Amino acid sequence: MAIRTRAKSRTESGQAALRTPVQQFLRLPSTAFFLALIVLMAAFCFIGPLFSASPTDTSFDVLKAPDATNLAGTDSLGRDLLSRMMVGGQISLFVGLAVGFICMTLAVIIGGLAGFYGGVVDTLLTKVAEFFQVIPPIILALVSIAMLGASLPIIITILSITMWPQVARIVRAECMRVRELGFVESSRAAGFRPLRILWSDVLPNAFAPVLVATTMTVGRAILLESGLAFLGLGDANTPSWGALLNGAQAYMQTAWWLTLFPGVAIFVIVLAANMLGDRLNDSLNPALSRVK
Amino acid sequence: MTSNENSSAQPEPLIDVTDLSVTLPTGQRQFVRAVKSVSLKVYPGERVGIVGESGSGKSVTVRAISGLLPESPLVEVGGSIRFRGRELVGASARDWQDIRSKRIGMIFQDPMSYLNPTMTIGRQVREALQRGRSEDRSMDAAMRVMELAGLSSAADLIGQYPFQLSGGMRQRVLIAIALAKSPELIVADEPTTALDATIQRRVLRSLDDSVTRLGTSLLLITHDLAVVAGLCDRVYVMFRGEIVESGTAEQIYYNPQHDYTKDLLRSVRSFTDDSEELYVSEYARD
Repeated sequence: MAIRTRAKSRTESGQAALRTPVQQFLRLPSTAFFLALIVLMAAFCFIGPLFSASPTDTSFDVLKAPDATNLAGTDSLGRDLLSRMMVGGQISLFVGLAVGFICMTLAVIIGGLAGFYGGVVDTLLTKVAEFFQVIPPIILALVSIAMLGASLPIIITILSITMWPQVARIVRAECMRVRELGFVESSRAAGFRPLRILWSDVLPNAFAPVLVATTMTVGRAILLESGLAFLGLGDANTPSWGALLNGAQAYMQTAWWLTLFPGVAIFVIVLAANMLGDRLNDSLNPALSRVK
Repeated sequence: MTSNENSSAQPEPLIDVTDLSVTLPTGQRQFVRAVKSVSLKVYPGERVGIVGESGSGKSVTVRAISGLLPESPLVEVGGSIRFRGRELVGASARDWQDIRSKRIGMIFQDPMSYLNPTMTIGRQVREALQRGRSEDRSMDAAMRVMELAGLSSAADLIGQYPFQLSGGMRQRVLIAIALAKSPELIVADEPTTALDATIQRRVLRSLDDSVTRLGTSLLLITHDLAVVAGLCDRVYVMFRGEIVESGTAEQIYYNPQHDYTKDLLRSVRSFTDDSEELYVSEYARD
C-alpha cells in the first residue's frame, strides 16, 4: 500500500488545515468510481421503473434475446427482464441496507457495552454474541422459512441475527482500545456519568472500523439474500436477483441473458460495496492512528 | 535529605504531603515502590517544580496528589496528602471528583491523547467550564479562557478539531481546559517535553502568564532544569522515589548541597557548554 501523506489545504483565514477524512476519502479516484457505480445502480433500481415496461407485463415475446425493445431480453412468461431486474434490485438493496443498519445498531449497543464496561458484562455479552455467530445462516433460514414462511421481514431478521456478532466484535475491540486513552481517563476523573463517557468519548472514536464493517456487511447481506433466493428460500413474490437466477436455471443453455444479467448485477453491487468499504478503511484508519 | 528551606511564618499550605509512599504492581505478583517517602508542600499562589530523571517517581507522586493512580486494589498508598487540611488518602470517590473537577487542574505530556479527536475544541473547553467552579459557562467564557491560555484566535479555534491544530496549540488547549475549572492548583506533568524548543518557551510563557493572572498555584514536573529555572519559586529534586534536595530556585542552582543535584547541574552545563567535555553522572552508571 503506498504511503499516503496528508494533504494540506489553507482555510479562509490562511491557517494551514489538514483535510478531514471525509475529504480525503472522496479524493481517491477509485472511490469516486465505486461510489458512482453504486449510485448508478440505485438510480437504475429506483428511478428506472419510471421509464421502462411493467415487470408483470407479459405481452412481449417469450424468451426473446436482448434487442431494442427489451434491452435485457424476456423470460419464459414474456416479461421484460430489465424491468424485473429493477424491481428485484430494489429488494436486494433494501435488504442489504436494512440488515446493515440493524447489525450496526445491535453491534454498537452490545459491543459498546461489552468493550466499555469489561468484566462480567463483557463475558456475558461475548457469550451471547458467540452463540449467535455459531448459527449457520442457511440452516436457520431453512428452519425459519419452513415454520414461518418466507417474507422480507423474516429474511432480514434471519440475516441480521447471524451477521451482527462480527461487527459487534469490532466495536468491542475498538472500545477497549479507546477507553484507555487519556481523554477518557480525564472524563472519568472529572466525574462524568459512564453512559455519557461511552456516548461522547468512546463510541465516536470507535466508529471508523464499524463503518467499514457495516459496508462489508451490506455487501455480504446482499450476497446471502441472493443465495437464499436462488435456493428457493426467498420471498416467492419478489423478483429479487437471486430469485431471477433461480428461475433462469432451466434455461441456462438457451436463454443466456436470463442468467447473465442478474448474475452480473449481483457481482457488481457486492464488489462495489466491498471496494467502498476497503477505501473507507484506507482513508479512515491512517487519519486516526497518526498521532502528531 | 538536605534542605535549604526558609522557615518563616507561612500561611496554611494548599497541598501538604507527608511521608507519601506508593507501591505499584508491575505484572506477575511483583511490586515496585515508585515513591518511597516524599514530603512536600505547595503554598497558595506559589510555583513549585519537581525535577528528576525518568523513574524518579515524580509522575507517580503527582498522580497520587491528583487522585489519578491506577484504580487497582493492588496499588498501595501510604502517608498523608492534605488539600487545605482535608486528608485525601483514602478519601471517597466523590471527594476526589470534587477535587479533580473543581480544585486541581491537570496538564499532561501528550496533548493528542488527552483531547477527544471527535469533539470540537470549543465544546471540550466548555465542558471543563461546566464542571468547574466558574459561574459563567457560556461559549464566550470558553473563548476567554482560551485567550488566557495564549490562544489568540480563539473564535476560529472553537469549531476546529484537535487534529487540525499544531502541537503547541493543542498543549495550550489543555492549559485552557485546566484553567477553565478555576482551580486552586494546576499540576503540569512534563507539559512541554513533546514540543520543539521554540514552541516550548511560548507555551511555558502562556502557562506563566495565566497562572500569574489567576493567582493559581503551580506544581510543575519536568526533567529539564532550564524549564524550572525560569518558572518556579521553589524546587524539589527527586531521585529514585525520594526527595534528595529542596529549596528556592536560586539555592538549588547556585548552592546545591546534595551530590545528585550537583551532578544533575553539571551534566546539563556540560551538555550546553561546548567548552566542557560531556559529563556522565555516576548516578547513571548502573
